[in-house]
Amino acid sequence: MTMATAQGIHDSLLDQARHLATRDPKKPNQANLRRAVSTAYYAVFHLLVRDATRHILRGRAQATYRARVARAFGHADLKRASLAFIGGNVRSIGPLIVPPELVAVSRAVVDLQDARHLADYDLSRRFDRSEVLDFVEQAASAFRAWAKTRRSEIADLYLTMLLIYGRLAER
Amino acid sequence: MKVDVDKVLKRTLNLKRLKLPKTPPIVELRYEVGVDWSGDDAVWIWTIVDDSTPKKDWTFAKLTPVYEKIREAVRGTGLEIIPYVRVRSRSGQDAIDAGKV
Repeated sequence: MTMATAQGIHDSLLDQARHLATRDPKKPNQANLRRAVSTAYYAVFHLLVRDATRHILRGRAQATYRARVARAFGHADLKRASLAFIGGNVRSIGPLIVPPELVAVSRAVVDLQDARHLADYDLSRRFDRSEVLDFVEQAASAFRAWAKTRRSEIADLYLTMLLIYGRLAER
Repeated sequence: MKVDVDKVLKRTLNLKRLKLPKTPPIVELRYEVGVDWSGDDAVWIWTIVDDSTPKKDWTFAKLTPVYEKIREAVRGTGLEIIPYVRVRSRSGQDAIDAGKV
Protein backbone atom coordinates (compact mmCIF):
# COMPACT_ATOMS: atom_id res chain seq x y z
CA MET A 1 0.00 0.00 0.00
CA THR A 2 1.49 3.30 -1.02
CA MET A 3 1.71 6.24 1.36
CA ALA A 4 -0.81 8.18 -0.68
CA THR A 5 -3.36 5.37 -0.43
CA ALA A 6 -2.83 4.90 3.32
CA GLN A 7 -3.09 8.63 3.89
CA GLY A 8 -6.13 9.12 1.65
CA ILE A 9 -6.12 11.25 -1.49
CA HIS A 10 -7.82 14.10 0.35
CA ASP A 11 -5.00 14.32 2.91
CA SER A 12 -2.37 14.18 0.18
CA LEU A 13 -4.13 16.96 -1.73
CA LEU A 14 -4.23 19.19 1.34
CA ASP A 15 -0.50 18.61 1.86
CA GLN A 16 0.10 19.38 -1.80
CA ALA A 17 -1.95 22.59 -1.58
CA ARG A 18 0.22 23.76 1.34
CA HIS A 19 3.38 22.88 -0.53
CA LEU A 20 2.34 24.78 -3.66
CA ALA A 21 1.19 27.83 -1.71
CA THR A 22 4.53 28.13 0.08
CA ARG A 23 6.89 27.37 -2.77
CA ASP A 24 8.73 30.32 -4.31
CA PRO A 25 9.71 32.02 -1.06
CA LYS A 26 10.53 35.31 -2.75
CA LYS A 27 8.20 35.93 -5.66
CA PRO A 28 5.15 33.64 -5.69
CA ASN A 29 4.52 32.04 -9.05
CA GLN A 30 0.90 32.48 -10.21
CA ALA A 31 0.79 28.95 -11.59
CA ASN A 32 1.76 27.49 -8.19
CA LEU A 33 -0.68 29.74 -6.34
CA ARG A 34 -3.52 28.80 -8.71
CA ARG A 35 -2.80 25.09 -8.42
CA ALA A 36 -2.73 25.48 -4.64
CA VAL A 37 -6.23 26.98 -4.68
CA SER A 38 -7.56 24.30 -6.99
CA THR A 39 -5.91 21.54 -4.95
CA ALA A 40 -7.33 22.90 -1.69
CA TYR A 41 -10.83 22.67 -3.13
CA TYR A 42 -10.31 19.13 -4.38
CA ALA A 43 -8.96 18.12 -0.97
CA VAL A 44 -12.31 19.06 0.57
CA PHE A 45 -14.24 17.59 -2.37
CA HIS A 46 -12.57 14.20 -2.07
CA LEU A 47 -12.87 14.19 1.73
CA LEU A 48 -16.65 14.61 1.46
CA VAL A 49 -17.11 12.31 -1.52
CA ARG A 50 -15.17 9.59 0.27
CA ASP A 51 -17.56 9.74 3.22
CA ALA A 52 -20.60 10.12 1.00
CA THR A 53 -19.77 6.95 -0.95
CA ARG A 54 -19.03 5.10 2.29
CA HIS A 55 -22.43 6.24 3.56
CA ILE A 56 -24.13 4.90 0.43
CA LEU A 57 -22.05 1.72 0.01
CA ARG A 58 -21.24 0.33 3.40
CA GLY A 59 -18.86 -2.51 4.13
CA ARG A 60 -15.57 -3.68 2.73
CA ALA A 61 -17.24 -5.69 -0.02
CA GLN A 62 -18.62 -2.50 -1.53
CA ALA A 63 -15.31 -0.70 -1.64
CA THR A 64 -14.75 -1.63 -5.28
CA TYR A 65 -17.83 0.28 -6.38
CA ARG A 66 -17.23 3.45 -4.39
CA ALA A 67 -14.75 4.95 -6.85
CA ARG A 68 -17.33 4.54 -9.62
CA VAL A 69 -20.17 6.02 -7.59
CA ALA A 70 -17.83 8.91 -6.69
CA ARG A 71 -17.96 9.98 -10.35
CA ALA A 72 -21.66 10.78 -9.94
CA PHE A 73 -20.99 13.74 -7.64
CA GLY A 74 -21.27 17.07 -9.43
CA HIS A 75 -19.84 20.39 -8.35
CA ALA A 76 -23.11 22.26 -8.90
CA ASP A 77 -25.01 19.91 -6.58
CA LEU A 78 -22.31 20.29 -3.94
CA LYS A 79 -22.74 24.04 -4.16
CA ARG A 80 -26.54 24.01 -3.99
CA ALA A 81 -26.64 21.56 -1.12
CA SER A 82 -23.96 23.46 0.79
CA LEU A 83 -25.74 26.81 0.32
CA ALA A 84 -28.94 25.20 1.62
CA PHE A 85 -27.18 23.95 4.75
CA ILE A 86 -25.52 27.31 5.33
CA GLY A 87 -28.95 28.92 5.15
CA GLY A 88 -30.50 26.27 7.36
CA ASN A 89 -33.27 25.50 4.89
CA VAL A 90 -33.06 22.41 2.68
CA ARG A 91 -35.49 21.86 -0.19
CA SER A 92 -38.04 19.07 0.52
CA ILE A 93 -36.81 18.89 4.12
CA GLY A 94 -37.49 22.38 5.44
CA PRO A 95 -35.75 24.38 8.16
CA LEU A 96 -32.90 22.67 9.94
CA ILE A 97 -30.65 23.51 12.84
CA VAL A 98 -27.23 23.07 11.32
CA PRO A 99 -24.32 22.80 13.77
CA PRO A 100 -21.54 25.37 13.26
CA GLU A 101 -19.05 22.68 12.22
CA LEU A 102 -21.27 21.64 9.32
CA VAL A 103 -21.86 25.27 8.36
CA ALA A 104 -18.08 25.71 8.26
CA VAL A 105 -17.67 22.68 5.98
CA SER A 106 -20.47 23.88 3.71
CA ARG A 107 -18.97 27.36 3.60
CA ALA A 108 -15.61 25.89 2.64
CA VAL A 109 -17.21 24.00 -0.27
CA VAL A 110 -18.88 27.15 -1.61
CA ASP A 111 -15.90 29.48 -1.13
CA LEU A 112 -13.24 27.09 -2.36
CA GLN A 113 -15.31 26.00 -5.35
CA ASP A 114 -15.61 29.56 -6.53
CA ALA A 115 -11.93 30.25 -5.91
CA ARG A 116 -10.96 27.07 -7.74
CA HIS A 117 -13.01 28.03 -10.76
CA LEU A 118 -11.35 31.43 -10.93
CA ALA A 119 -7.92 29.96 -10.33
CA ASP A 120 -8.32 27.38 -13.08
CA TYR A 121 -10.13 29.44 -15.73
CA ASP A 122 -9.98 33.19 -15.16
CA LEU A 123 -6.48 34.41 -15.93
CA SER A 124 -7.56 38.01 -15.46
CA ARG A 125 -7.84 37.28 -11.73
CA ARG A 126 -4.52 37.53 -9.95
CA PHE A 127 -3.82 35.73 -6.69
CA ASP A 128 -1.94 37.06 -3.72
CA ARG A 129 -0.07 34.52 -1.55
CA SER A 130 -1.88 35.62 1.61
CA GLU A 131 -5.21 34.99 -0.11
CA VAL A 132 -4.10 31.52 -1.21
CA LEU A 133 -2.75 30.60 2.21
CA ASP A 134 -6.10 31.62 3.65
CA PHE A 135 -7.88 29.26 1.25
CA VAL A 136 -5.57 26.43 2.25
CA GLU A 137 -6.21 27.17 5.92
CA GLN A 138 -9.93 27.20 5.21
CA ALA A 139 -9.63 23.73 3.69
CA ALA A 140 -7.64 22.50 6.71
CA SER A 141 -10.20 24.04 9.05
CA ALA A 142 -12.98 22.27 7.10
CA PHE A 143 -11.16 18.96 7.63
CA ARG A 144 -11.12 19.56 11.39
CA ALA A 145 -14.75 20.68 11.44
CA TRP A 146 -15.80 17.65 9.41
CA ALA A 147 -14.02 15.30 11.82
CA LYS A 148 -16.19 16.71 14.62
CA THR A 149 -19.51 16.37 12.83
CA ARG A 150 -19.18 13.54 10.32
CA ARG A 151 -20.82 10.87 12.49
CA SER A 152 -23.96 12.90 13.18
CA GLU A 153 -27.35 12.29 11.56
CA ILE A 154 -27.36 15.71 10.01
CA ALA A 155 -24.00 14.97 8.42
CA ASP A 156 -25.57 11.85 6.89
CA LEU A 157 -28.33 14.04 5.46
CA TYR A 158 -25.73 16.47 4.11
CA LEU A 159 -23.77 13.69 2.42
CA THR A 160 -26.95 12.40 0.79
CA MET A 161 -27.89 15.87 -0.40
CA LEU A 162 -24.49 16.33 -2.02
CA LEU A 163 -25.52 13.63 -4.48
CA ILE A 164 -29.21 14.27 -4.99
CA TYR A 165 -29.84 17.97 -4.38
CA GLY A 166 -30.09 18.80 -8.05
CA ARG A 167 -32.80 16.17 -8.53
CA LEU A 168 -34.84 17.62 -5.63
CA ALA A 169 -34.67 21.03 -7.24
CA GLU A 170 -36.33 19.64 -10.36
CA ARG A 171 -39.40 18.46 -8.45
CA MET B 1 -37.88 49.65 -8.81
CA LYS B 2 -34.50 48.53 -10.07
CA VAL B 3 -31.95 48.42 -7.30
CA ASP B 4 -28.60 50.06 -7.86
CA VAL B 5 -26.51 47.15 -6.57
CA ASP B 6 -23.26 49.04 -6.66
CA LYS B 7 -24.72 51.96 -4.71
CA VAL B 8 -26.10 49.60 -2.05
CA LEU B 9 -22.81 47.73 -1.72
CA LYS B 10 -20.75 50.90 -1.63
CA ARG B 11 -22.84 52.10 1.30
CA THR B 12 -22.78 48.70 3.03
CA LEU B 13 -19.12 47.81 2.54
CA ASN B 14 -17.90 50.84 4.37
CA LEU B 15 -15.22 50.17 7.01
CA LYS B 16 -16.55 52.78 9.42
CA ARG B 17 -20.10 51.46 9.17
CA LEU B 18 -19.21 47.79 9.46
CA LYS B 19 -17.36 48.04 12.79
CA LEU B 20 -15.31 44.95 12.09
CA PRO B 21 -13.35 43.15 14.81
CA LYS B 22 -10.08 44.94 15.54
CA THR B 23 -7.91 41.90 14.87
CA PRO B 24 -6.60 41.59 12.27
CA PRO B 25 -6.76 45.27 11.37
CA ILE B 26 -8.55 45.67 8.02
CA VAL B 27 -7.22 48.76 6.28
CA GLU B 28 -9.39 48.65 3.19
CA LEU B 29 -12.21 46.74 1.51
CA ARG B 30 -12.30 46.11 -2.20
CA TYR B 31 -15.16 44.50 -4.05
CA GLU B 32 -16.26 43.41 -7.49
CA VAL B 33 -19.74 42.50 -8.61
CA GLY B 34 -20.39 39.86 -11.22
CA VAL B 35 -21.72 36.39 -11.91
CA ASP B 36 -20.04 33.34 -10.47
CA TRP B 37 -19.13 30.08 -12.20
CA SER B 38 -22.61 28.61 -11.86
CA GLY B 39 -24.51 31.70 -12.96
CA ASP B 40 -25.38 33.19 -9.56
CA ASP B 41 -25.05 36.92 -8.91
CA ALA B 42 -22.01 37.42 -6.72
CA VAL B 43 -19.85 40.00 -5.02
CA TRP B 44 -16.19 39.26 -4.32
CA ILE B 45 -14.93 41.20 -1.34
CA TRP B 46 -11.29 41.45 -0.32
CA THR B 47 -10.34 42.46 3.17
CA ILE B 48 -6.97 44.17 2.89
CA VAL B 49 -4.68 43.56 5.87
CA ASP B 50 -1.61 45.59 6.63
CA ASP B 51 1.65 43.64 6.08
CA SER B 52 2.91 44.60 9.52
CA THR B 53 0.15 42.52 11.15
CA PRO B 54 1.74 39.70 13.19
CA LYS B 55 1.18 36.20 11.74
CA LYS B 56 -0.65 35.06 14.88
CA ASP B 57 -3.28 37.75 14.28
CA TRP B 58 -3.65 36.88 10.62
CA THR B 59 -5.03 33.36 10.65
CA PHE B 60 -8.17 31.96 9.09
CA ALA B 61 -9.62 31.56 12.59
CA LYS B 62 -9.06 35.27 13.30
CA LEU B 63 -10.45 36.30 9.92
CA THR B 64 -13.59 34.14 10.15
CA PRO B 65 -15.54 36.58 12.38
CA VAL B 66 -14.54 39.42 10.04
CA TYR B 67 -15.82 37.49 7.04
CA GLU B 68 -19.05 36.60 8.82
CA LYS B 69 -19.71 40.23 9.77
CA ILE B 70 -19.28 41.26 6.15
CA ARG B 71 -21.54 38.47 4.90
CA GLU B 72 -24.15 39.44 7.45
CA ALA B 73 -24.00 43.03 6.21
CA VAL B 74 -24.50 41.91 2.61
CA ARG B 75 -27.41 39.63 3.66
CA GLY B 76 -28.93 42.62 5.44
CA THR B 77 -29.20 44.53 2.17
CA GLY B 78 -31.75 42.01 0.86
CA LEU B 79 -29.78 41.66 -2.36
CA GLU B 80 -29.89 38.15 -3.83
CA ILE B 81 -26.18 37.95 -4.23
CA ILE B 82 -23.56 35.51 -2.92
CA PRO B 83 -20.77 37.23 -1.01
CA TYR B 84 -17.35 35.63 -1.47
CA VAL B 85 -15.10 37.16 1.17
CA ARG B 86 -11.36 36.70 1.13
CA VAL B 87 -8.16 38.41 2.20
CA ARG B 88 -5.20 40.10 0.61
CA SER B 89 -2.12 41.71 2.02
CA ARG B 90 -1.62 45.43 1.44
CA SER B 91 1.53 44.75 -0.56
CA GLY B 92 -0.22 42.00 -2.52
CA GLN B 93 -3.07 44.31 -3.44
CA ASP B 94 -0.61 47.05 -4.42
CA ALA B 95 1.29 44.62 -6.65
CA ILE B 96 -1.93 43.54 -8.34
CA ASP B 97 -2.98 47.17 -8.85
CA ALA B 98 0.41 47.97 -10.36
CA GLY B 99 0.21 45.01 -12.74
CA LYS B 100 3.31 43.47 -11.22
CA VAL B 101 1.64 40.12 -10.57
